[in-house]
Amino acid sequence: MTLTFAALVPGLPHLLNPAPGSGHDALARAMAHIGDTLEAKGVKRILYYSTQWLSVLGTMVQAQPTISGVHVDASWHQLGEIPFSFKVDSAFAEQMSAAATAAGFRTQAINYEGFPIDTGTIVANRLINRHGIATGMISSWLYAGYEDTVKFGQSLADAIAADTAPTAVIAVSSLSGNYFPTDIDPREDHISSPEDDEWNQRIIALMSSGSFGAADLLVPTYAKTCRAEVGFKALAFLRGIGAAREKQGATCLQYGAIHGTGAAVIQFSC
Amino acid sequence: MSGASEGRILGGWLAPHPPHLVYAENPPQNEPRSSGGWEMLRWAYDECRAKLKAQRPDVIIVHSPHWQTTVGHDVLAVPKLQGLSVDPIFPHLFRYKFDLQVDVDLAESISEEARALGLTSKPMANPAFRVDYGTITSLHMMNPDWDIPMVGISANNSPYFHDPKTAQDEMIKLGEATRIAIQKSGKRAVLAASNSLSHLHFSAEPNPALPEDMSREHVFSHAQYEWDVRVINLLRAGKIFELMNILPDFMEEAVAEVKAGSLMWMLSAMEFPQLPAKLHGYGNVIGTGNAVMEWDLTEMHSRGTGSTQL
Ligand SMILES: [Fe+2]
Repeated sequence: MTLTFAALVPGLPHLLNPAPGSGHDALARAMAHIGDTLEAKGVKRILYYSTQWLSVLGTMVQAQPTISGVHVDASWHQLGEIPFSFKVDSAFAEQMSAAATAAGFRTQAINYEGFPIDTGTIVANRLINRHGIATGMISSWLYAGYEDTVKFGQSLADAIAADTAPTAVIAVSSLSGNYFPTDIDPREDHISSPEDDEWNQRIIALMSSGSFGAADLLVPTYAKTCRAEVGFKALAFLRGIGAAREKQGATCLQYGAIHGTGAAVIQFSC
Repeated sequence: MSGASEGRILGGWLAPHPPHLVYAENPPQNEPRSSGGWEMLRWAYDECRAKLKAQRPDVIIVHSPHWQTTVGHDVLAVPKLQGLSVDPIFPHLFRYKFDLQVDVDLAESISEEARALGLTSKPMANPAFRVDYGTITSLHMMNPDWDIPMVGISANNSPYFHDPKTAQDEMIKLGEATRIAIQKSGKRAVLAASNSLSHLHFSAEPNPALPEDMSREHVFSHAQYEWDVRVINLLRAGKIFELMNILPDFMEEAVAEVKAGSLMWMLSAMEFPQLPAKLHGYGNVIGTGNAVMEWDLTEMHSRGTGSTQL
């Protein structure tokens, strides 16, 4: 088994240059800490599953060996340009694609110059991967439900287990997705409603106690009530790939708000 | 520029943006090559091209569902935007080198008028911004020479966040803001609502070896086809009020892309013209329903047909 490290992190660009006095800085520092931890554990490959990379015709796996450029977020363009640089383990991308396809999931490894890398993956990689560890990127297939996503994750678990490189899995997703529909002062950022805050904390508490089965059962209501990002399928992926295992409590390093949405940096026990 | 007189909207186009249409045409800007396909829609766009060549508008203003913004109805406001736009869903079909001239004065004015009407809006002033494939496809199909400046407006997430009434009110205000800014600018503008109609699509390409295999292209379902025909017939008859009444059901049952607000924005900017729209062509792309339709407001003015404030 080479799954060495796993975490759930937020992926909004506010984290890259945190506004002074906002809570974003603490989230960014927690992500940097995660980077230090996974490096100390000898991780040689980081796989990102970002719910901001939505695919429609099945799942996509990034296979372009080197990717670099400057990214501007479609929504948060006023936050500026984000330079990015990835070294992709393209051979492992092909292995993941083959494993998922063999399990019945339409999956393609893509290699196109200029393919848009999602903001979530870019933000996470900037904060976590400061020394150029090889990466992989897996899309979130729009038409896969929670259960399907668990099974999809399972299909990749075998590929990871069969490989010797110590691997980290980072799921990039918000918690509650109710944002403020107008501009706000980042110093006053907070979860957009007490109900969303309660729900987020309830889900975090379940993850912290390793009660993932209970969390699975609550996700449909949580997703509906709080617009958890893309049905909170990030947890389904982490469940399937073997990162979020029953009775193996996770550690919440930081919880906060980004423009009203819920954001948490959670490290799982691998 | 048409001088100091009040600006006006010459017309509006329902200008769907499946990237397949650009792929099928093999323009030099797009890297993938094809053997054609989807001619019914591409021939329809020929009519639009000829019309724009004759009209010579000062600007084309496009509202695209594929520039999604969380906060605000934002407007492209950089004089020149260049780069490579790769469609994240169909990267094998659309890898387009774009080079846009933006009418920044008008863009900033639309944003300002939107704010004056109570909307959240800001100019998008970052030169490194990558323009979405919806904006590019609609504009390329309308004017492949790219010799008319453009303004691009984002699709705010409001239709998916607020209740339908609030979302619709925002699009109506955005249309008003656009109209006021055009009037103040003295310019002659053409509008483009970058929308498909019914939007259920096949979950895989019917023939991955030949995406343009027209023997495999058809509407997703007969129910979707019936919805498209119903909507097109209302537009062809100029029955805007009836259309407004059925739009919520259309959005729900046909997952219609008009939900993103582009059509409502355009109809509002044109003051909901009681004018039969001209259908130039209808076609399916990977199962979705697409119509190229025109509202020629210069005809309406010469015939004295009315428009309506909602
Ligand atoms: Fe679209």
